[in-house]
This record gives sequence, structure tokens and C-alpha cells, in this order.
Amino acid sequence: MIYFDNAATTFPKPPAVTEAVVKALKEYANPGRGGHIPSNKAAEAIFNCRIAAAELFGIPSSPEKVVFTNNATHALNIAIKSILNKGGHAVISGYEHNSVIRPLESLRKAGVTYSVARSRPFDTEGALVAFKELINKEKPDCVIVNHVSNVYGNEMPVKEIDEICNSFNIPMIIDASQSAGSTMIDESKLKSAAYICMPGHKGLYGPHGTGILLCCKEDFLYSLIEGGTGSNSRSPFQPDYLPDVFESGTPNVSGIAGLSAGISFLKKNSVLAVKKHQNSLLKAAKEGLSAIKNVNIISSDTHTHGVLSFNLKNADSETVCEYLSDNGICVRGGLHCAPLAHECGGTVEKGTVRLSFSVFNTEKEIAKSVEKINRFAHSFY
Amino acid sequence: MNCLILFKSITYAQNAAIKLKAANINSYMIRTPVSLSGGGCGYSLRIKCKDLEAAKKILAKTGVSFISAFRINEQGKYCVI
Repeated sequence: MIYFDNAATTFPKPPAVTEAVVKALKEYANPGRGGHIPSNKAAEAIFNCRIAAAELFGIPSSPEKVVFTNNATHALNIAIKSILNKGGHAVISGYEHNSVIRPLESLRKAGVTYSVARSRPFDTEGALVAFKELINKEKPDCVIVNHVSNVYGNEMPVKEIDEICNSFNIPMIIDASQSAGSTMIDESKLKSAAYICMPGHKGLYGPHGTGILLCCKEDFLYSLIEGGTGSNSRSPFQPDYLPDVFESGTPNVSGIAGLSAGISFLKKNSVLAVKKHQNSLLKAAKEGLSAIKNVNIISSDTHTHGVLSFNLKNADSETVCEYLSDNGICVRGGLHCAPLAHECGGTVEKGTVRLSFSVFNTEKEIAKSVEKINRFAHSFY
Repeated sequence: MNCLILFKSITYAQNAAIKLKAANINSYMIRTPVSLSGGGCGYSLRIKCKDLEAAKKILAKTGVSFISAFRINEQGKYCVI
């Protein structure tokens, strides 16, 4: 089997991740609740993961700013609702996932509105101009930026948008779902970032059901759920400090232990090496696909991330995916839960076939997949 | 003689333990005694009282906040410092 659906979740996971999950299930109890050995072991595993993540994202002295969530969607919901729970206006990129659009739509009843800074895929300058215009004109309460699109792999100019936001004192939320683990993100260098949201199970190679919310500012803390935190128990009110404010109930101990092993794996390989590997796979895929007649690749020379969308003329993207699945190749078709991105890229009617890579993929797998796609194209036309 | 430094959550206590260890101050994390916690449920670091002043300075310098500190006397009772 060839697995090219790593933008959905990386697969397989490093063996150390599985081992860490099994160890946690065998040895760890509920963290932050008791003072006995299995409870302390669990607490230590969770804290180790906080430290590892804090180091990876440039805040080594502030592990309390690392909040564990179920996934990036959960993190984005906390982030968006923390800033906009009483209403307000947001400016978002044209590449936001439904995990941003749907919370915003749900908040309309609280008076929330939003505008989209639309741009063509890989038109970085266009994206920046769109953000500049909207931010200048609308003075939003919040800006939301998808760092790297899960559809096309195009990168938003986060640093430049950060400068604009900072000049207006507007908090920025970054969706790092596709960039965490393959692009350096240094929280300490982003002045306006209030929250950075990411899954643990994609580029960080952790288990399913893990996510991270980096809380860069403590001005906006709005809990989605309240309950036991193992702290300040006599108070009927939710703690107002990190990470407890966002972490009620027993956490996903085995998942977080696995995530810790995933981050260690990533650090051992280095984020830059991962990016380089994905870039070489991307180049090979683009080269192979471009030789096939009737293939439309959505890419550019500036494209470096390990996510690649293409279409075969007149073929439904899901039909192509089904054929590839029947031939042992796992890819993703359709709209990738990001119809807004497909609108910006002009692919909303048919969706795209998406290949997405991890450190475990090889150029040989690319060659084999290109050959199968070519075979499909020959039989289709 | 031992002292206790109380923290508002386990994460703060764990973070403090790392900072103290880096300064060669050993600590041991325990559940905060209910009679001291006030708010109920919390974690503390037990350290040697001779290290307390240095520990407070390190925590202040590294930005790890704590609630209060207690000395444990010969009878095992806690005296606020």
C-alpha cells in the first residue's frame, strides 16, 4: 500500500509513538489528580510533552502556554470563541478550513461577522494586498490565517500579515494544521499571534485525537467546557489560568504520551530535513504528473510544501481516488472540508485529487503512483 | 528542616521543579495538604528550608508564580513564612 493522505493524518506512525501509547495504557493513571506513583507518572508524561512542544515552537520557558486539545478543530474553536464570544468582526484568508468557517457561522447569533481576504493559490503578494485592504478598511477584532493550505499546499505570508496586525493591535489566530512539523514556527517572533492551532496527529506524528493550542497571549481565555481540573477545587468557577482554563476532565494521557514520542521523532529528524524531503517528493510528483496528458496541476515555482492538488480533465476527483484506492494508493479527493479554498482556486465544482507526503514516503512510491494515474488517464480518455 | 512551596496547578509546580533543578535545588512534588490549600486541590514542592530564599529568587527570575510558602516544624505542623 502507498499512503499519500498525510494531510488528513500521518500514517504510519513512528514505532516509538505506538510504544509510548502502550506504555501509557499499561502504567499511567489520571494525571494531576492524585499523588501516587501511576498518577505522577502520567503527570510527568504530560508535562514532558508540554516542554517538548514549547521548545519546538519557541516558548521553552512557558510550558503552561501549551494546551492539549482533541485536534486542530478543537483548538480553533477555543481560539475563535475566546476572542469573538461576545461578537466582533474577523478577517480570514481565502484558504480557511470548515473548522474556521463553521465556528464563525455559529457565532453569527452572537453578532459575529467576517470578511474573506481572497487570493489565487500561490499568489502571496495578492494575499497580502487583500489582507492589507480589508484590515485597513474594516479594523477587525481578529485575523485568522491558514498558514499552509490543506488543499493546495500554498503558504500565506504570515510574517507580513503579523506586521500589519501588530500595527493595528489586532490579535491573529494561525491555523498551523499543515505546517506544524514541516515549517519552522517561532511563536516568540510573531508579535500579534494570540493563538496557534495545530493537530498532534499530522506533522507532529502523534496519535489520532491529539491537538495543541499554543496560547501566546493571556488576554482572551474563554473555556468551551468547564469541570474538574485538579486545581482550586473548592471554587465553583473555572480556573482563569493556563493551561487549566482549557483542560477540564481527564486528558488523553496515552495520546499525549504518543504525541511526545512523535515530537521527539520529529526533533531527531529535524523540521528542516522533513521539509526538504517533502519538497523533493513534491518535485518528483509534479514532474511525473506534468508528463501526463490532460492533467492540471495546481502549483507554482514557489510551492514547497508536501501537499499537491491536481485534476484530470473531465474526470471527477473522487473517481480518480477510487481507482487509485483499488490499486493500493491512498489519496484524498473532493473538497477536503475546505470549500472556500476550492472557490479561490476555481476547483469547487469538481474538487481535486490531493497527494500529501510524510517522512516515510519515497520517490519510488511517487513513480509507481504516477504510473497508475497515467494508466487511469489512458483508460479514461 | 523542610519547607513547602504551594502552586496553583500541577503545571506550575512541574515547571518550578525544572527551574530549581537547573539551579541545583532538589525538590519533591506532593499534593498540597488540604489544610493549606484553601482553594482545595493543588500541588506543592517540598524543598530544604535552607534553599527556600534561593528558590524564591529563581522562581521570581524565571516568572513562575507560586501562592505561598510554609515551613514544616518538628511536630509536622505548617508555619506560614
